Amino acid sequence: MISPSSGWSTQQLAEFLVAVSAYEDEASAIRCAVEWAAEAVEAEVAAMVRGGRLAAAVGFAQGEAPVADLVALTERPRGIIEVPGAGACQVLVIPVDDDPASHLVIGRSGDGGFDAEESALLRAMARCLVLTLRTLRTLESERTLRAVMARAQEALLESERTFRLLFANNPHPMWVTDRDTFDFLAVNDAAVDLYGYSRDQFLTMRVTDLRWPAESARLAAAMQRMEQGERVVDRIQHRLKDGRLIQVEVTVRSHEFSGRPATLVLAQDITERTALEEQLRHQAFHDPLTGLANRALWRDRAEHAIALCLRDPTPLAVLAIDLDGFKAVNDTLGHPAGDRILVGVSERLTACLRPGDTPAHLGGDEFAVLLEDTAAEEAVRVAERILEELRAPFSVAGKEVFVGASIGIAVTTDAAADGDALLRDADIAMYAAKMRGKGRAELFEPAMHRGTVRRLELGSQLRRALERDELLLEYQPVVSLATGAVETVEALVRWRHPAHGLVLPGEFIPLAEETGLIVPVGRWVLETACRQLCRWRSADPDGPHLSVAVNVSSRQLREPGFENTVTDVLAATGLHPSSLTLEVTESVLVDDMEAVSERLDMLRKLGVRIAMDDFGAGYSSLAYLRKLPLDIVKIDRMFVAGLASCVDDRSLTLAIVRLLDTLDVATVAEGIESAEQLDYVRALGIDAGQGYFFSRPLPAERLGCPPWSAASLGLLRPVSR
Amino acid sequence: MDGQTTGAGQMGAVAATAPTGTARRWAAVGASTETDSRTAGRLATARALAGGEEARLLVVFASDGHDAGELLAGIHEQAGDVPLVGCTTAGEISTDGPTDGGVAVLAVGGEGFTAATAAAGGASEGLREAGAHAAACLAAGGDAPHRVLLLLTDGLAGDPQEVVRGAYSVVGAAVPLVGGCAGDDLRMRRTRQFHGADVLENSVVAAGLCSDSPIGIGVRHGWAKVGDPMLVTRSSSCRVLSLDDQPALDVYLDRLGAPQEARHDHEAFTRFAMTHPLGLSRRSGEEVRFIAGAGFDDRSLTCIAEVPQGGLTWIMEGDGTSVLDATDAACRDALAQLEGRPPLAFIAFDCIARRGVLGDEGIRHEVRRIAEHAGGAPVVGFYTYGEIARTHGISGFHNQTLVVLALS
Repeated sequence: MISPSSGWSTQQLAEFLVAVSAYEDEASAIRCAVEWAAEAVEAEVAAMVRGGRLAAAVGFAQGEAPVADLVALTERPRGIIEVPGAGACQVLVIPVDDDPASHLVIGRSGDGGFDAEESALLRAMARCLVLTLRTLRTLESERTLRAVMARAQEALLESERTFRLLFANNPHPMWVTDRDTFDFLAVNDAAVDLYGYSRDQFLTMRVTDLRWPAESARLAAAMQRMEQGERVVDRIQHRLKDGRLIQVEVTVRSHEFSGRPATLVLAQDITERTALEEQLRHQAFHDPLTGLANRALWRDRAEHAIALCLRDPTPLAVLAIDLDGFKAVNDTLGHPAGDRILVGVSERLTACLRPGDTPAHLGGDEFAVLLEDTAAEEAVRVAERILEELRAPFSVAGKEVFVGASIGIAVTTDAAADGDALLRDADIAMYAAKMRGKGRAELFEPAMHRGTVRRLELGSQLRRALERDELLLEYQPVVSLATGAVETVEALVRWRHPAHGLVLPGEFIPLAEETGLIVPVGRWVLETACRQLCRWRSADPDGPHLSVAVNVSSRQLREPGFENTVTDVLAATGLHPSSLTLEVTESVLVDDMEAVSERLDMLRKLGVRIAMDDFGAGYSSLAYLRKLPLDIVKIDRMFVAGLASCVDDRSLTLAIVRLLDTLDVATVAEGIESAEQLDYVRALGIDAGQGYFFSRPLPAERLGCPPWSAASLGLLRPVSR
Repeated sequence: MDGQTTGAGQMGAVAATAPTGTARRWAAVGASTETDSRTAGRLATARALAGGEEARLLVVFASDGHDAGELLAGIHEQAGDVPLVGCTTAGEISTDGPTDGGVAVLAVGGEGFTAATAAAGGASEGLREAGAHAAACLAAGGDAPHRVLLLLTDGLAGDPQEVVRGAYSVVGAAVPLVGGCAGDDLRMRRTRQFHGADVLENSVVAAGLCSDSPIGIGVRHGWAKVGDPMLVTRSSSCRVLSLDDQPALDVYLDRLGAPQEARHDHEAFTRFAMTHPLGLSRRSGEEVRFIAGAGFDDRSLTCIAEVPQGGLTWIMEGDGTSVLDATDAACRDALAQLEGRPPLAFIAFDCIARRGVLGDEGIRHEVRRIAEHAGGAPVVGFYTYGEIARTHGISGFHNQTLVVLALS
């Protein structure tokens, strides 16, 4: 039997436990505990302070609990608190062994305070509360866990539903294959539609059956990456049931299918896209006419090759190729013909190269070739092979057209660290080749670079030279070897450059040709020479028939209005056409021979005499001597220089002279510098001679007034035989 | 209990006015046993309002037999918009004595009083929240030195202690809580609460009353423990299944030597049990639990409020003498808190079980004794299904108790 006197607190504790444990959340359980504790000891106020904060309070008007006072009270086991309506209350503080550290604060009006039984009851209640709270937390975490698991389960189901939906209805082919055997485990409708196999057929196949070529090394590599957790995207080729090949982009992911390791694949048919991309890429990087790489691609390849070069030093060569006389083709035969030539050039060019070399059409008549792993000597050999190939005529519109080329070669050095620099060097070498007579290849040397700079400077200054009267003519007499009389004077242009002094035509005429300044320069030369002839004529009106010879560049000759210019100048000066000799070089013949021939014929019909200059220096060919309408052939100084020492030269020259004699073409020997040479020349039966032996070129004022003769020039030696 | 009144429709009115020297306060009670609800309301109110000017609050206790809407309409005709709280009863108390089927109206007024009211419905869905919501009206009561919160609730909606806890959570220890659970003349089906012109069910209505002058509260029940305590070895909420590991009903009947009819007949058992409640051990005494019924099949006892498993309980016993002694004690306790001032009015919340012990003659005697203690001040009240009085500590719900509120 329980003693009634001590029964009340036991009963209270039991009731407390029942009441508090009825709640399912901590906040409610704490609030309940605070109220029941107060009720048990008939206290007016009670509070729970947890971790320095008020968790619950009862006995104060709503929102008016003295939080700071209550928190402060927890520092001592007993105290006093003033409670509105209840007055000063005795306070008992019960520690609650919970986390965070908590205290139950109980305040009761009256003077008595709490006795031992009450204190024990409240401590027991605090203990019960802790146990209840722990149980609640355990329950709560279990509830949370259950909720999380339920959500995860739901998410899984949802994700499976979504997957099935995406898989079955995906417009792109999808399948699942066994990760180890590559057997198809599931395929969607889009796969059946695209590949042409039925679902049942698919399920008897392996993914390797689709691959074309049926290599598996790449597949294995992809599988390995995938197993490392990567989502692998690959572009491969698949073969359809009907044999057609398609390009596909496959996205591969690790997947679990019916509990076994599998691979989920999404395949996008990118055949059309790939073809379009390829076409666009080709268009972007290739010249549409020749199909060769364009400048952008070529530069890219060059950069790439140079980058390789820097890592693993192997020689790298660049050829810059410029066609000689291409503009004439365009001008005279039209652009379609020009285009056919370009195509032909690109074909011959490619034929001279190894498969790994990169030929490019950079635009106009410019080509370039990238030769990887090629040293200078080999590059020169390739260049010469190209020149040889291009030398053969092209057959265009039923005509044979000759197109030569000049090639510059640059090889990798420390100085040329990028593709552009290499091409620039090759370009410089190419210009050097042009200046040294065209139709040839030159290897870049640093000195060329300096020459190029000067050339560029001169080019820009030449225009001003005309305006500033910096050009002048010198004249060199041509002496009749029969009479010793001077019948012709050759006008030679000079440029008195304010900084560089006297610049010879060999240096600036090619510039003038490139820039088109050759037209005004040529006209100026023609006019000046003709006027000078008039002055000399008027000084010696009864003298022998003196004529003037003027050099005409191939570019001038191709100029459509050239014969009009000649007519105008003759008319302006009142000279008879026969007083004018136009000297052309063999290089004009590199261009279209027939066109040149027609043009020369027209000029000759005006009454002007035509002379072939520097015969034998370049494309020495006797064949065209017959075809061209020539009055005079001037035999190059090289022959003259060789006459004294070389029997072969003498025989060849004799043959030429005899031929020309039969053709009724007059001959002039150039570059006679000695009496011995003069003797040989005269012995060969050459009509006239020119050279320092008679007179170097002189300004008009230095020549004085005609008539001149070998004797009057004071340089002519008596004819010895 | 018809015929217990002083004359149908002829109930009188008693008013009291505070002595001069303080702000003017007055209180008056009007009652009516008119059967026409509107007339009864009008008459009782008119008598109450005759007590003075500036009525601040009406408190109405009326039989569930009345048409509540008509009753309130009659009251409204007289009182206009004076704040009103009230409820149905298991018998009304007024200065002239107890009635059944009647209406009693208390009016308080004068500038010394201020009042505000509130109502909260859906009590059974949230007893605590309803109590808190209704109690919030006190915030409008200003800072008068003496305050009380009058709570009238539906005792059938659930454990009224939760309503008290809700109210306490809002007002705290600063304000005493007084009141009772509405009745329905012992039909135990449905009670109503009045707020303004609204007739409510399943609700809590509250009036915060502020006064210049002290307010006293007395709480007594007059029951005593009989014999040794018993351990509640198995219970489920309000049902007690075993005491000291024996079937609860058998232990209860055998301890008391109950008459044969109480061992078989439900009504006989309820009559017997009304005077033999259970008591729960509390620090300063016992809390009484009224036993409402017996489970003759499973040998269980069914109480009005929870009897927690694991607790100790005693059988309680009371008689006419002890209950009337408690009445005197409650009145004296209330008067003692008035600081020597004479009472303006008494409001009594008297348990229906005490009425069972005292009988009809006993309650007329009780009301006379209350009126004597009032010393000529008017008395109003009702027989309740549970009483509310929180004056110290935080517990405030009682069974089988008389609560007396004295205004001065």
